[in-house]
Amino acid sequence: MSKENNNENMHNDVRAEKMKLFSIGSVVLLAAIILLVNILFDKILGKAMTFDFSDTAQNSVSQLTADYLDSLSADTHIRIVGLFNRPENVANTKYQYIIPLLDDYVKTSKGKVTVEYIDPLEHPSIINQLDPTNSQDLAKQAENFVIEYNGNLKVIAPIDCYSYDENYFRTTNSYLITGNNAEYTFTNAMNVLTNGYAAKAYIVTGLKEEGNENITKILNSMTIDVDTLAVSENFTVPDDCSLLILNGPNSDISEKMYVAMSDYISRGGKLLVAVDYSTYNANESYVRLNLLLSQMNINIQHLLIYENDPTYQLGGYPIDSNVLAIEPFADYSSSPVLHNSYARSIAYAENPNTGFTALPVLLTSDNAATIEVDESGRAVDNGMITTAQYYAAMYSSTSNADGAKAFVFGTLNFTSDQYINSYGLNDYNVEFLRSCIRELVSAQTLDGINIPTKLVDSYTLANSKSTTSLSTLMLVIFMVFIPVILISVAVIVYSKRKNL
Amino acid sequence: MYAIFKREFLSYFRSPVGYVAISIFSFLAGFIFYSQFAGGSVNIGSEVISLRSFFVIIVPIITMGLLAEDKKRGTEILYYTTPVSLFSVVAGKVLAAFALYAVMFLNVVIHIIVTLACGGVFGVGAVGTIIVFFFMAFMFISMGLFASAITDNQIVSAIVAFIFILITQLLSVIGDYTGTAVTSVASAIGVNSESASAVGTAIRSAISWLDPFAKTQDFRLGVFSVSALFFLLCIGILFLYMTYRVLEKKRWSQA
Repeated sequence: MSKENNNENMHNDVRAEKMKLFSIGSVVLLAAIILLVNILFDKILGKAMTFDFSDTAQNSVSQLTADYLDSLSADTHIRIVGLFNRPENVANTKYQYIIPLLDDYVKTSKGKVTVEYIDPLEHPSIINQLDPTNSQDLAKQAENFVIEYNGNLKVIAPIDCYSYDENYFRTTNSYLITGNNAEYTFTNAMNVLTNGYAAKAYIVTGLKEEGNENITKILNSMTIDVDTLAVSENFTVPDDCSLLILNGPNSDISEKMYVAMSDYISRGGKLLVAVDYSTYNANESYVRLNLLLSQMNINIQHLLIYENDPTYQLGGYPIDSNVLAIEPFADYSSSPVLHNSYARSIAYAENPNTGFTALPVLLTSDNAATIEVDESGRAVDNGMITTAQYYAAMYSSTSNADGAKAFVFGTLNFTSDQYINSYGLNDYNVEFLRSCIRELVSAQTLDGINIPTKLVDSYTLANSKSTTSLSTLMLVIFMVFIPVILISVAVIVYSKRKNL
Repeated sequence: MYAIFKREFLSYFRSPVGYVAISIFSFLAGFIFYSQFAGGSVNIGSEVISLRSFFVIIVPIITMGLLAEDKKRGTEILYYTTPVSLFSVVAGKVLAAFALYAVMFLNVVIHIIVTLACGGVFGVGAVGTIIVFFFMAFMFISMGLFASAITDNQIVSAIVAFIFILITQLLSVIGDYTGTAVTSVASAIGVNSESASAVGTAIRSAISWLDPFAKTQDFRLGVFSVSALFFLLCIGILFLYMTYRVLEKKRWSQA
């Protein structure tokens, strides 16, 4: 009997040992199969089986970009290098809308675009590899992207890819993203690298103006290279200047600039001027700038447009109102009704130059007025000057096709970073500005890719619902009422069943 | 399988465990929702992502007794002697825990209704995070069930499940540290800095590739990846199979 038991125990031990080996072996085998299948799935079908269902296709390239990529020859190789290690989790980082989009560039381009992430601190040779002449100082571009094509480079910082609330930034020094321009920025950078610039614009700086970031983006997207022209004693307008821009100067031009710009106009130069009437420049009459513009029959008045017509006012504010684009400029944007604020009145110059024809571009209602204000924003002498229709922008040109042309805006709502950051790059005003630039610089040469800003989701609740009392109610219901009821039930259940 | 599912699911409500788990989940979800609501902006996707962080607490609570308690009471013998397959036992138990998670999630459904009633948005990104939430719940519950299968002590089971889930949640961090350590060691033994860095980066990437949170991060942006969900499903199935093998081994060792 004992011998039989021993045999049975031995038999059971052997069986248990075999079962153990089988269990471990099968688990290891299954784990290996799972790992292998997942690696293959990820590599082969991972991209194809990824679908962008986001409302504005934030993470997919649009048909415009797809068409551009298709138009490139098969042997094109555009290399995008992120100068950092790819973050494992991009959510809530500045790369949130960029890295997934770049993945889609790779997928759509069929090998024409590659994306790598290389941290120069870990691989210093990447700097020399991308930029042997150190023209872009890439060592200082950590966390940015470099686009390389045939040895030419473009550097893109993540913030270049976003519109943000400028007022919020000024008050908090942090970004509140309002729109995603990542595709706009990357596609146009690639377009410029592969096709080159068609023209060159110079933006005058040093006249206490604010930023030119967005107008530069817009010009670049239209294949116009942009450079700055700083105020100096030796101010001259370069010969390759296709368009000279004064964007929001808060002080007048110098005598030297007046001479140089007059010469530029006489050579058939193209001018884009945008000013406004704010507390920063309330005392500025732009005497020399007006002397220059008077050659083209335009005058910037020292008066603020005050819209009395409530149907034109925006939010009930007379200095923030609609203006109407009139013929032949009415079809410059999808809507002739455009947004105007803190505008100076633009008028015909007093002594007309017969060589130029000036035309009104943007009109107020018939019931508008103009007032003069001091630096504190108060109306001088409470004086409201004649109720009439005023111009917020004018255009001047000669009969000669190659002659000088100018658009003069009395508002910065078409060119300022503040406005464009708030309303995005596909706002009607921006669309209008693009048309103006096409009119000034030969339209045939501008083949930029205009990709609309993708609006970022807003999770804001309705103001009437987001109240303190309702918040308190939420606190009570969700953090107190429901958990306490559940705990009470748990206690009851426990007390009733503890002896079972 | 249905009988086991029904028995396990109802057992959550015949003991305080189910109520306590739902209560903790309600409180945490309520806190996140209230914080957003008070700020005037509610992103359900963010709420669900935040709730995923609490898997590490809630999953061990609801899985610790699934098999460990049967072993302690000796009722596990019923699984081996009744005409029910061990696969049905494992599937029934995991589905019961999963169903409890779905009940917990009703809190978030209420939050969604309140958000929509208050003029908020429930976008495709939020839908993506919810899909990921349930796939992750399945994966972590499978881990918890396995932890419960390897011991007859509920506390030990909960601790093991906690460790499994914690390691999974920290995979990216572990990858970073391991990569850095390997780079340092390689440099110390004379490998040139670029090669050492390349090895470190490769190891970091290999470990991070296993991170389910990194794989599914784009769902919140509305980008749905089938391969990421497939990965979560596979890991869940692997742990279920491991649980099945533990039970199967015991069945044939009973004699």
